[in-house]
Amino acid sequence: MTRGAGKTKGMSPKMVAFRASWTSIWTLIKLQFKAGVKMPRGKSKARTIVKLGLIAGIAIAAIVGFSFVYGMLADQFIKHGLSHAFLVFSFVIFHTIETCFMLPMLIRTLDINNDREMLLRWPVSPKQIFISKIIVAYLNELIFTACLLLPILIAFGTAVGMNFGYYLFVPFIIVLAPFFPFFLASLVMYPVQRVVNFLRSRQMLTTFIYFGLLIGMVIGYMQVINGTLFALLDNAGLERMLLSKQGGIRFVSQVFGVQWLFAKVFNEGIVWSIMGLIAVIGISLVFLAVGIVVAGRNYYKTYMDERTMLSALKKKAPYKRSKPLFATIRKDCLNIFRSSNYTFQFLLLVVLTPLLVYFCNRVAMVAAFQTFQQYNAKLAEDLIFGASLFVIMILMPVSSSFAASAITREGHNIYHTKLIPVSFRKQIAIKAGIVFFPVLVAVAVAIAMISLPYKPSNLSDMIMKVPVTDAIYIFGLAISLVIGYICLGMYLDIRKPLCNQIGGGELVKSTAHVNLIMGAGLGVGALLGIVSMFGGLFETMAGVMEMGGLVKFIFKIGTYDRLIYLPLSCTFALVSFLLLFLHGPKRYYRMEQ
Amino acid sequence: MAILKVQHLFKHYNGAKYISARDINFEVKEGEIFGFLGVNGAGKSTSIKCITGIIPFTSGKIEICGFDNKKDPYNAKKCFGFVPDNHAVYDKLTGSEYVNYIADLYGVEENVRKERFEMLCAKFKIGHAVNNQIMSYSHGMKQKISIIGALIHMPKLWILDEPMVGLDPQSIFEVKEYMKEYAKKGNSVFFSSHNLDTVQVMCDRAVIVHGGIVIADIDLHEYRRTGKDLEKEFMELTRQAGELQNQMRKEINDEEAELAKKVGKHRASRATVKKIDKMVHDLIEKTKDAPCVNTFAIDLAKSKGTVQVKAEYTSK
Repeated sequence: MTRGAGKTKGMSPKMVAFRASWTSIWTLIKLQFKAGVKMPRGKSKARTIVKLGLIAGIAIAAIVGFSFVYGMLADQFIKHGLSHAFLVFSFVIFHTIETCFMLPMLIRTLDINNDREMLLRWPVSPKQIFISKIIVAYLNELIFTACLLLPILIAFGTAVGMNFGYYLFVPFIIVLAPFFPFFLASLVMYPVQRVVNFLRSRQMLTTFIYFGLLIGMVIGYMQVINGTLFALLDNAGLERMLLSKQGGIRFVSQVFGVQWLFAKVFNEGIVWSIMGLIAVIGISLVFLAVGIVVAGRNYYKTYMDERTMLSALKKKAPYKRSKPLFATIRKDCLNIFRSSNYTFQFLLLVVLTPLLVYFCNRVAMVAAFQTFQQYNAKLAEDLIFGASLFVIMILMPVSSSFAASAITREGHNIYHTKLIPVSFRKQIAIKAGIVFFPVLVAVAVAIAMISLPYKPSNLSDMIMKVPVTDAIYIFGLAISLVIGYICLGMYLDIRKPLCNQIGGGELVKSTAHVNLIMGAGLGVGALLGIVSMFGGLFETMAGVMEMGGLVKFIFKIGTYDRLIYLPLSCTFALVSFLLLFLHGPKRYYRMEQ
Repeated sequence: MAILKVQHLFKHYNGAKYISARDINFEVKEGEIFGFLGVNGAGKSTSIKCITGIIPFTSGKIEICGFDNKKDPYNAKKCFGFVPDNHAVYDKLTGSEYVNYIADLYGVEENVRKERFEMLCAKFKIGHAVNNQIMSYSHGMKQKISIIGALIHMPKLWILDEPMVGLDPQSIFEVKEYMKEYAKKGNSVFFSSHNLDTVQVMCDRAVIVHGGIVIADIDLHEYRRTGKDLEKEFMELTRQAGELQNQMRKEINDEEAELAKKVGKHRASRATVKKIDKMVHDLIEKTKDAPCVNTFAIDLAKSKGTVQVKAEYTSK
């Protein structure tokens, strides 16, 4: 008698099949979590517990610390009538980070390429795989949203003085925040995947389409945010709205796209709130059901397309001699740009950086203009400086982190790099350079954009521009940090390449080094960005503000940030560079993968 | 002249429980097809990886065309072409792009590479697919493009690790024929395989590795002349070596075995050294009549710079 057979006794065959199906789905979910989440392990059970406790402690401390700092900042802003501008910044930042992280994650999780092993090894159906993947993807997104949004919502609620009802709705906001975009993405995933398969070997076309779509989406998205802001800010009484409980919640809900639900909740009473909630869940379930049907019908076709369209690329290489250095650069570039996956990861933020800098600056300008009801050139400069620095600092580690999988991505071909008569130092320099130069161009374009005077069409007489010295400072800071991230990431990867490959030989998951560089970079970026942004701002408004304690200290640092950060970032870059180029080749030789 | 010289190769992977290569010694001469044999886990792949520079080795010396592959890796690497057993080639490139890339690395002139590429493509019958992306290739086709890549600069030493896996009979025949042709030109072929029949027919000489040491250096011309069966000898030699090594392991008491494992931390006692000496002597006595075994070496308890009991004997 098989395990669990007793539990199905007396059930109808349909129920037994249903139960078995959910058992498979549950197994697949566990499998994906096991494959995706590497639990830290110590040499003994006690050490493992200590390690886990330490990680949990750090995470909680980070969240509490973030909430505390955010709450203090929110307090200051609300006290001085800048609450709306502050909240706008908070949500723009949240959405920027969410878009940057969740979009690739969603694509990766739902990508059919990852299913090969599951499909070939186990007796599971496409529908089961789809359901399990969608649950895993949703849970991932939920965790991410909760970690980021919970501190913001709680701190904001505390600062504004929301009542118990607000906190009761916070979990709903978090659960619902990823609902619509998520299920919509899952619905269109397989049809889109078929198009992607068709385009897979048409590399240039694919890349253009990808980025065209992406830029379109970002512009559309930012326009919506911008439009919402204009609408909100133009409706007089924003201050009142923000500082009142209902208004605050409506504002929060506006930004999350489920505003109608919350509007109903607070305007129409409990019946509407329940109906609204049912409607949201119902629509999401319809999306899910349609998604499952679409997945079931398209899965094998999509899967087979993926297999049969691989041979489409044909290209005759000329018998033309190149120097080993250029040949290696060419090979590395082809390896990246002939993979839509790598191209996307590699160029995503490089393409987006100038765009996001522009849009975030616009948002900042709108908020400032509406706050002061008049144009202030110095304040505008401070805002553009702070917002640009912040966005660049946040985005650079994500772009640079591609270097942290440069060796791992070689996979089985790692032996090639050891065999060829090209020094390890040269190979390392090539890989680092390939990541560095596009990021350099992206930063340069973004900096050029904010250095040239520009008048946005619907912002009357405002000029978006920072002084040349500020632009040079941002450029120096960003580039030195980029050099540091790239060199450190590559060095870590050389020390311990993970060579984690699935199916077609492409690395589909980011490595621990990538996450480390990204996480550390985001932390440093957020700190530098916030201090620089608000430091400059408060310096301009000196005399108006009443500051004390830690806030005063932080903003005082902000006043002298250039003297502190630039030397620090240059030192970091130099140390990482020396580590990579002096110690890296020896490590490369000792690598035993 | 020796194209490849491996002396006292010792390799212990970081954190590994066992030593992979204890004392590997052999030479590959000019114009020779050299077989490299051993059971799984004998230390074959480790030795090949050390020779090609894929992994570093703990101690010993490897010379390729007279260049020390630790001190002068650049020149040593220029002297050989390597065909790995895992068909790993850059999937995103087309066959011709891959071979051109390798040719660029080794500085092969345009007209020379064109001539060689076309010749090799015709020989291995892959001309129809060379402009396709490698990801669309079968295992056999990947192996063929890997072979062409290894030969495009016509190295003095051609190293093949299980090259026949995945190849069709026609291609296996072509590879074997080309190996002979290549060696006749004065180049050397280092051929690692589990296919003993092929080794017996193809090779001039072969060594058998077992437990990280070379247990036999065999003249295959002699085998072919006398009609001896390499497979039978291989089975017998590896069985004997295995038994003896196991027996010796048992005889060394647990404490001393533990000491030997703790590389570089403890010294073995005089009694253990004497025990090992006696066992080596017994081993030689037992195997001294083994036919065509030129060298017999055993080093049981060697560990990084501490216990070094080693004996090399030449049979009659």
